[in-house]
Amino acid sequence: MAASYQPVLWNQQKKIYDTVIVVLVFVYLAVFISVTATFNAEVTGETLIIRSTGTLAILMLHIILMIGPLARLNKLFLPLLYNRRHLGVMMFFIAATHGIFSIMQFHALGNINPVLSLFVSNRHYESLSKFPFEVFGFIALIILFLMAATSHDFWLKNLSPYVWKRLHMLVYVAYFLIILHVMLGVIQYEASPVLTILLGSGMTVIIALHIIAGRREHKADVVPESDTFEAYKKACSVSVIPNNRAKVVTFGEERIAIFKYDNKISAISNVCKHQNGPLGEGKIVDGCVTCPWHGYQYLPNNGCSPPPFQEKVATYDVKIVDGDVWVNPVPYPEGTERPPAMISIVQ
Amino acid sequence: MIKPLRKYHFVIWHILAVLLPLFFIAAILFRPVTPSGKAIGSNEISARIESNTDSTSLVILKFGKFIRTPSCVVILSSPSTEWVLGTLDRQGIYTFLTPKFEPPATLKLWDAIHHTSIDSVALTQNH
Repeated sequence: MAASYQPVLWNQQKKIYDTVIVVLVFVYLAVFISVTATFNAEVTGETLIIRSTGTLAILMLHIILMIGPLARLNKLFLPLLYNRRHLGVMMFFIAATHGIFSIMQFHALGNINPVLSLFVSNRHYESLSKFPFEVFGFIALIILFLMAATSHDFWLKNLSPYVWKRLHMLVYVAYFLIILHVMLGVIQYEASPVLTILLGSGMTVIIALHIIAGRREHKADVVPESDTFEAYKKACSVSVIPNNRAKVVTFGEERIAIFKYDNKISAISNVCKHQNGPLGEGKIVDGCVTCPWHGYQYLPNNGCSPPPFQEKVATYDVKIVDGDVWVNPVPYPEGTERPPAMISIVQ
Repeated sequence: MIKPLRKYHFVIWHILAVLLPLFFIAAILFRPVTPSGKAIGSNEISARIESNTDSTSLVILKFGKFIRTPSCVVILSSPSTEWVLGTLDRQGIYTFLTPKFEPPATLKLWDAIHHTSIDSVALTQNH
């Protein structure tokens, strides 16, 4: 957690994750370069690097963009989310290699600045098929650079999770630009339909996953009609909340996670202070609510991270009436101690 | 994610769900038509004088090499004169209409940016 900007330490899982990624990257590059060089003897070393890194970067981007909605739709994918940032940074370095070698090969041999050449050597901005597609790739690379450079928790802390998350959502714009870069670039000259089919399939899967996950979240944000008594709203029956787990309800602007643990019920904000992860989808580990995304922890009765960590989330008043949980949706200031509702006494 | 970001995600993906397929299909539909026909042999380079009239000559250049320089200017060089005929972009068959000249002549390929010679090919007469 954020005592030293290193919430996710170098644990065994992370090392395995990174090792697997690095090995797969090298295997992909080796196979791609070997096969291409075997069947196309005329291809130069620079071209091999440009093609292998370009295809690998777009493959990795698709995987990265699938992890988010998959983790929303099925908890089995949550371990992939845990270290997604490293995958993203590695993807940036591979994309940057593609970009640098492309600029060297196609724009560095003239008598004008290579980056300027990228914008002015082809001026068919009015034509779809002749459009200077490199421009899309260049802008996308700038976005990916911003994301990679700010991926550390130092920036997350200083920019605030809201700004940081918004900045990192620019990956969707980058994805759009990269699809244009490929479609108006190599696809215009590629005789084989394989690349087009692969790209179209990947794009369809990405769109479908994000739309399905987005609609599910949108549906969950609709505030339901609920019984109200004084300031409290009826949330759910105690029995529907599994032990050491939560039921997430929406009564106001933001979701509330109602946890059942040790025959008690407590309610805290559903939004983790780290990356706004869904606390209500986590579980209670060692007496603490544990975020399913990166393991940030909070005490359920006061919303504070255990010492020495300093994160705090809002808490809510709860009570149990006739086996039902009632919540006052007005939040207390973050870290405010609120007494849990006792299940054993009431029932 | 918090609610405003969930909303942002919801909106942007509904926009992308329209735009991405639209550009994808448009990019396929507007692909340039690749001329079919026998490909030029790899690394093949040859040039011939196709026809000679009283005042002009027609020169055909078959160029099968990869161009690895930023510029590739074609210069016709004969004992009496030199003319710049044009530039090469890529592999292909190029036709140049030139003023009348007398063989023997050579086509020189010149990188005008680095001022270096790329290649040269002797012109043959078409009989």
